[in-house]
Amino acid sequence: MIRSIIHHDEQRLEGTFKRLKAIEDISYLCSSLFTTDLPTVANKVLKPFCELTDADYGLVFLVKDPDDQLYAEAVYGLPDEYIELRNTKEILTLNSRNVQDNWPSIRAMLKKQIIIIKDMDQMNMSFSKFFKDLIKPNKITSVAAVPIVIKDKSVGVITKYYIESHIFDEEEISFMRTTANIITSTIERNQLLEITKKSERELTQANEILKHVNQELDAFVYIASHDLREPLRTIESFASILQDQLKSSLSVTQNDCLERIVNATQRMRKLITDLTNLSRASQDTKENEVVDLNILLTEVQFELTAFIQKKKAEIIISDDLPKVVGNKEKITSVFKNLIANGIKFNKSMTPQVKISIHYDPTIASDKVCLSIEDNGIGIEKEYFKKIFGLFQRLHSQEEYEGTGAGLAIVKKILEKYGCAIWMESKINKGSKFFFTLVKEK
Amino acid sequence: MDTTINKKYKILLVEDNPDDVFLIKYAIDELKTSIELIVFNNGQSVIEHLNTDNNIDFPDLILLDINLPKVNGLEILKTIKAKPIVSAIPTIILTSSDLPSDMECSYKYAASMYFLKPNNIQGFKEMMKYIIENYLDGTKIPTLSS
Repeated sequence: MIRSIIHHDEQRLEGTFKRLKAIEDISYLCSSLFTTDLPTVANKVLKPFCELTDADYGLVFLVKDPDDQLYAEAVYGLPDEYIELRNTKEILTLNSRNVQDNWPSIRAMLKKQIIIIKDMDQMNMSFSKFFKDLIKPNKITSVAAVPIVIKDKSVGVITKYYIESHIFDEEEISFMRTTANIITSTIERNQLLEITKKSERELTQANEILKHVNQELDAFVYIASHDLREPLRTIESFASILQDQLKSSLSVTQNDCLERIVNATQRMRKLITDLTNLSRASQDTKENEVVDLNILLTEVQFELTAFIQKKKAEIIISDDLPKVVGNKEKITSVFKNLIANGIKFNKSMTPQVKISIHYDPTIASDKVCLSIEDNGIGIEKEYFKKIFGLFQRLHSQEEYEGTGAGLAIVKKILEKYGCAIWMESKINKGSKFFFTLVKEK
Repeated sequence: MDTTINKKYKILLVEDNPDDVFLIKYAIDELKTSIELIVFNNGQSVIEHLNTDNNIDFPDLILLDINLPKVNGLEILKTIKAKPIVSAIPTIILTSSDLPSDMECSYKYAASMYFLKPNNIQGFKEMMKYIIENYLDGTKIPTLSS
C-alpha cells in the first residue's frame, strides 16, 4: 500500500519534472525565434510539447487567410504524408460539419479553450479513414486540443493524441495553457519588434533624406551666393570708375546717387556673405578639436579690439573657462557674434559684456553651459525666440546697421553640435544669452 | 648691358568675364605702364599657346582665373607647372572664389599668389600695382592717389 503510494508520487514527480523541462525547452526555443511566422514557431514547439508529455501523436492546424481554411502544418508521431492527405482530401474550415477526428481541434479553436477528451469511445465519434490507416493497428483513446489565440483570434491549434487512456491533471492543463501562451507571446512580441524595426528603418530613411536635402540646400546657397556676388562686384567696380572719373564734375545729387548705388551693393554683399556663412555653419570643414575657451576668448577680444576701443567697452571674463570640443573657427564665431552684439546694442557709457559659466543641474552632463551678459538696451520678451530667425532685425538700419543673420548663424552652429541657445532680457537693463557647448571628455 | 630696364613686359591674362578683363586693362592703363596684356578667355587655347615649343615670346607673368569654362584655372595651373620652361613664369590666381580648398589647391600647384578679385577700381589698381612691382623686375609705379 505504502509502496504503491510512493510509486504513485514518484510518477507524479517525474511527470512534473518532464513538463517543467518541456516548458523550459519551449520558452528557450521561442526566446531565440525572431519571426512572426506562426508555422515556424508551431513546427518548433510541437515536438517538445508532445514528447515530454508522453503523447503518441501530435498535430498542428493553422488558419490561413484569406478564406480561413484550416491546414495541417506539422505532425508528431505520424508520417508527413498525413499533412498532404489532410490538406487535399477535403477543405476544412472552422464551420465544417464533417470534421471527425478533428472535432476536438475545431472545438478548441471555436471556444478558444483547451478541449480534453479522456475516452473517445464514449464520445460517439469516428476518425477519418486515412488517419486510421496511418495509426494502424492502434486506436486513439485520449485527446487534448490547445488553441493558439493571437489578438483574441484563434489562429491555430495544437492537438495531441494518446493510444492509452491518459489522465490530464490540473498541472498538465496548466502546462498546455502555458505552452499556448508562450507561442502567443512569441508571435506578438515579434510582431511588435517588426513594427519597431520598420519605424526605425523609416525614421533612418527620413533622416537620410533630410540630411541629403539639407546638404543640397547648403550647396545651393553656397553656389547661388557666389554667383550673386559676381554681378555685384561688377556693379560696384564700374560705379567706382564713374566716381573716379567724374568726381570733380559731378553735382552733389549725382554724387549722392552714385554713393547710394555703391552703398547698396556693399549692403547686399554683406547679406550674401552672411547667407554663405549660414550655409557653412552646419558644414563639416574640419575635424573636431579640443578648444581652450580661455585662449579662444583672448583671440576674440584681440579681433574685436578696434570695436571695443571705439565703444569704450569692457569685457569681463569672470570664471576660469573650460575646454570644449568642436571646430575652433565656428566656436570663435559664436563668441564673436554674441560679444559684438552685447557691445553694439548698448547705450551705456561703458558697455559691459560678462562671460561666465552658468551652473544648472538640468544641463546634460556632457555639456557645459556658458552665459554672455550685457548692460545693453535689452529685448522685449515677445522677441526672445524670434531674434534667432534669419535676417530678423529689431531696429532700423539707421539705428543699428547689420543684416540680422548673426544669431541665426550662432544658433545653427550650436545646433550642429547638439547644443542649444536661449536668453533672458530686461528692456534698458541688458540681455543675458545662455548656450551650451560640448565638454572635453 | 642691362636689357631688362627698357623691356616691354607682357602679362598673359586668362579670364572669361569681359567685365573683369576691362577692369584689369583699365587698372593697368591707369598705372601708366607700358605693359602688354594678352587675353585668353578659355583654358584650352592658353595651354596650346604655351605648348608651342618654339615660342620664344613667353609672357613674363600669368594671371589666372579659376572659374573658367571646360578647363578650369587650377587644371591650367597644373599643366603650366608641369612644363619645364613655362613653369618658371610667375603665375598668380585671380578669382572670386573664397573657398579654402581652391586656395590650398592653388598653392599646392605652386601658384605665386592668390588674389580675391577686388570690389572696386581702387582695389584693382592697388592689386595690379603690387603684382607689377613684385613680379616684373624694375618696373616702378608712382604712388597711387586715392
